[in-house]
Amino acid sequence: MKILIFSLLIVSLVYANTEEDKLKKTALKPLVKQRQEIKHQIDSFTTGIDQFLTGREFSNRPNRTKLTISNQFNFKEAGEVEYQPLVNVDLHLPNLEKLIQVKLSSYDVAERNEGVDKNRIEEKSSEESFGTSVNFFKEINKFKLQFRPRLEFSPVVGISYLLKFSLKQAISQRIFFEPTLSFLAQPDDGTSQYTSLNIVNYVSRKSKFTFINEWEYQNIDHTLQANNGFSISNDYNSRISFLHMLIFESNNRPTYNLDNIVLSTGYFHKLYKGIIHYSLRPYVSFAREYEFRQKFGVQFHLNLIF
Amino acid sequence: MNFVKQFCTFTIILISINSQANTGPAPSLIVGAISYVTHIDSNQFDKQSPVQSGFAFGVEGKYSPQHALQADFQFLNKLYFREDAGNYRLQKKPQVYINIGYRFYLIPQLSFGLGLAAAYLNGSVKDISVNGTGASLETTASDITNYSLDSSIQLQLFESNNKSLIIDYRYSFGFTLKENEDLNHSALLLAYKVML
Repeated sequence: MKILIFSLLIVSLVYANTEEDKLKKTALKPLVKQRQEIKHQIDSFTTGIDQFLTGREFSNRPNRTKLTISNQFNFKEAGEVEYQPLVNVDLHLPNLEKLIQVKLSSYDVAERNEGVDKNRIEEKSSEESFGTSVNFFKEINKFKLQFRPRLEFSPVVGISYLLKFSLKQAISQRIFFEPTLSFLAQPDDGTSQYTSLNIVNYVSRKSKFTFINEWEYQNIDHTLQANNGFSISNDYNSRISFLHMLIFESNNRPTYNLDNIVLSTGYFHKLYKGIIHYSLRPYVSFAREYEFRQKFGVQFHLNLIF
Repeated sequence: MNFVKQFCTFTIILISINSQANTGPAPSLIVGAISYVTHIDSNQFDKQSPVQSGFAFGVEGKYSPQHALQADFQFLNKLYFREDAGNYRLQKKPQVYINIGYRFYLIPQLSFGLGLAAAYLNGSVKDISVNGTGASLETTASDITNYSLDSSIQLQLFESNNKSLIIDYRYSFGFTLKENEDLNHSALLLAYKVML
């Protein structure tokens, strides 16, 4: 019954998309105007930083600095609705672009995007951790290298590091082997290693099937966490996409065993492209903690982009 | 003073021999071995702190003809010492020591670096020596992360075909230490440097 309600909700959202143009012209008009003013101020500020750091004239390339205000709502069966606002700034400095991308963010990007949690829908919420990071990218033959120190300001001042090697190797015309090796060092968790051996099948121009195999090892408490499963993603059009996942989560506490099975489906909608994006992700989990009994949940993310 | 004279003489000789080399700062990869010793200043603990060794690698990026940015990773088993009222505790912390900073090239063969380093716990902390009620003393080793300022003098020993051999003396000054604690260390890095 619950799955049916979620499915109906998603179908109704798809049809609601046809009303989008009307929305743009009416309800969102004041917001768009205000957004343009804020965006202009952000661009002037970042251009000043760029000129100060490089001592060069203004670049003709467009400024792609983005300020994102993200509102995350999580609801799990027999639980309360959790709300978490996040702020993320992707600071674009055209004159330094060849070497450096600078990022400012209010959450720990490494923890969210580089560990096993990135494919875990009901994992802990991002801990509030204001900070700034600098990304260095280098391509050596087929390998992509990323090094990212991050200065954090809360709860205490600290530094975290990410060193990441990744590769995209073609197995056939549509199937690619995409391994990743990341070394993480974080003020609260110490050092850890993350490995992924994903195989991606680009079924069509709009759809892909990913076979997920990833592990993360924490050196301090010697814990190993693993995700195995698959995901199917599909771009319905330039603004709407779907993501379906089945993930088997394991850990080595007390011994290596299955900890959770999560089946999820996600609806991602760029309501006003580059300004308002939202996603709705209903899921059902079978956790060892609840003796593998089903628990339903839903995540709703609303992003305002400047 | 004698050591300073010897060091200066050694440096001048090396620079003279190496005067044809003209590398300076360049995008490069550094791999080498590091020896280090924690400076323990105590009347109670009369043993010599052992010289230990580890592995290090790093990168350097050119910023301008005389200036560079550097980052390096060192895998250490550093000692931390703390004493209080005649009792002491000596602990060993396995750590990944990550240093990121700035390097100034006075001449292509001689450079000075200054960086901010973070030491991340990479395993379990062990007691090496405890005296009296020293077990109740908490050292910085038990902190997951501790920070320090790193200064270095780097000398290029030999250079050929964009590859060189360097020797780098470093001093680490910890600023997240506890009361009556010794954790500053000196290190000598002998490394192979490859221009990318």
